[in-house]
Amino acid sequence: MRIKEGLKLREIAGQGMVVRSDLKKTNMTEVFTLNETASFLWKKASEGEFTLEDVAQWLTQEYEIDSETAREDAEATVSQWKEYSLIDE
Amino acid sequence: MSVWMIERGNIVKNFLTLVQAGLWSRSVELEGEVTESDWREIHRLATEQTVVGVAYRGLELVKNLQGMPQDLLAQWAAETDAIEQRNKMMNEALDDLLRMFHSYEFYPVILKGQPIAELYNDPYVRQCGDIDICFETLDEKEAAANLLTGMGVKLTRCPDGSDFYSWKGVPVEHHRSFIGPHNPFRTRDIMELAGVLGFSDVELENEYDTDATVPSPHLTFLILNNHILKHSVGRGIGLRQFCDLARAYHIYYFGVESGMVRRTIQLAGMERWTKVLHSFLRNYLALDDQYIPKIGWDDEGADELMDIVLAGGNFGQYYGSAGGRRDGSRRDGRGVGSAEGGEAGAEGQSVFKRKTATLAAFLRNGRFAMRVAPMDTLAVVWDLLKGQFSADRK
Repeated sequence: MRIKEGLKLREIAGQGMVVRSDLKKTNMTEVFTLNETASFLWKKASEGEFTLEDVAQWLTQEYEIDSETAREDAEATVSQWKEYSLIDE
Repeated sequence: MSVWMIERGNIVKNFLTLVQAGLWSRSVELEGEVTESDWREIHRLATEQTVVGVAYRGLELVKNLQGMPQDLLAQWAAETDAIEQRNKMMNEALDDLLRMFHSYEFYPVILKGQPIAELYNDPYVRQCGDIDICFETLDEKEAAANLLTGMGVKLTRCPDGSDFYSWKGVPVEHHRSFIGPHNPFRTRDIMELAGVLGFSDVELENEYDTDATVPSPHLTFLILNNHILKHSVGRGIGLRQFCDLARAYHIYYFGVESGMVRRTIQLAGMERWTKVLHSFLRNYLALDDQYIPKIGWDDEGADELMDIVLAGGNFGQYYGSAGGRRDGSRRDGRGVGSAEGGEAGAEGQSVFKRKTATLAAFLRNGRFAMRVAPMDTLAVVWDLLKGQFSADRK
């Protein structure tokens, strides 16, 4: 999986935002607000290709949670990114 | 202090603080309690002054964004993204245009625009307008125009003799000269200066490594200065152009011979005006005065100039009968990504309204203009009047 090209994380006032615009076709813009954990994962994911296992491992390392919880959280996050078409598989 | 700043308290002050933060990439604290309506007002100012992206960079450096409405923050982020996307589009169009010209052995000079954007810490947040070009001779300009029309490009000749067209969706303007209307008694000196100060072939630091010919730093200072003057004594000007000059001084000043910079201003007959301009850059954009040529100051003039800037916005588009209203509401629904305006802008206005607005602007700013730059003001007026009677149109 990979974050779609051009989707940059903007950090401001303690929160993260990702802007997706399609000005050439429809002149529409969507703004996604990310909490601290989602922003952390987005930054890691932006470094290149990643798997679900990578996401779980990042959570385990950063937040000292057990692997099962990390796996569930990773699935929820990636599922949301897929739902909003933010990643390429 | 400017009248607008006195009347509007911390709103204008905090707006300028944001712009300064974005220009110089430094953390700031805002003054007093900033309410939701204050933030919306600050955003409106950023829009009118065509510094939305620069102010957004400033937002990122504010320690506490208390009172900022979430919907406005999202909107601001989206607008900044649009500005960045447009700059990428501009870079692509510029590269394509120059490759085309070079293939036919035309080597135009790029004035302002994308080369100036590269002087910013983040070039992509500078709101871009059109691509401004000039050629070494008027014959070459004419030949370039013929080349373009031969290619099927729809070219319009403006009253001031410049040619206007669109290239890959980006407006392009071919100017008659690298410098706008100015004191006619200084023309020979300025042209001789250009010959001495010259132009450089550079590789722009964009995605395309575009090969371009640009004015030297000394000439860049003069061109930006004259551009601000031309519009300040005319229809009006926004903050973006002042930011351009502030960044140019910041980047180039220590690399050039400072005596030559002062001499250039003196030879161009712009000393009195430039004292006002430099006071403005120091007092309102927080440009450190170590980067400013030492020719003196005019703080009172700078306050008056700030009133002109805040009242009219980008090329005076937001003032009174020019289309905006004193309460600041927008004339049209033009998107934030572009900063088109000036001579070739003001879409949607009838010719009569545009001319009336221009006249109103001259009357409004006349006292200030004649005090700080009488000969240049008369040159601007003459240039406009000439254009009204010009039959030289394509």
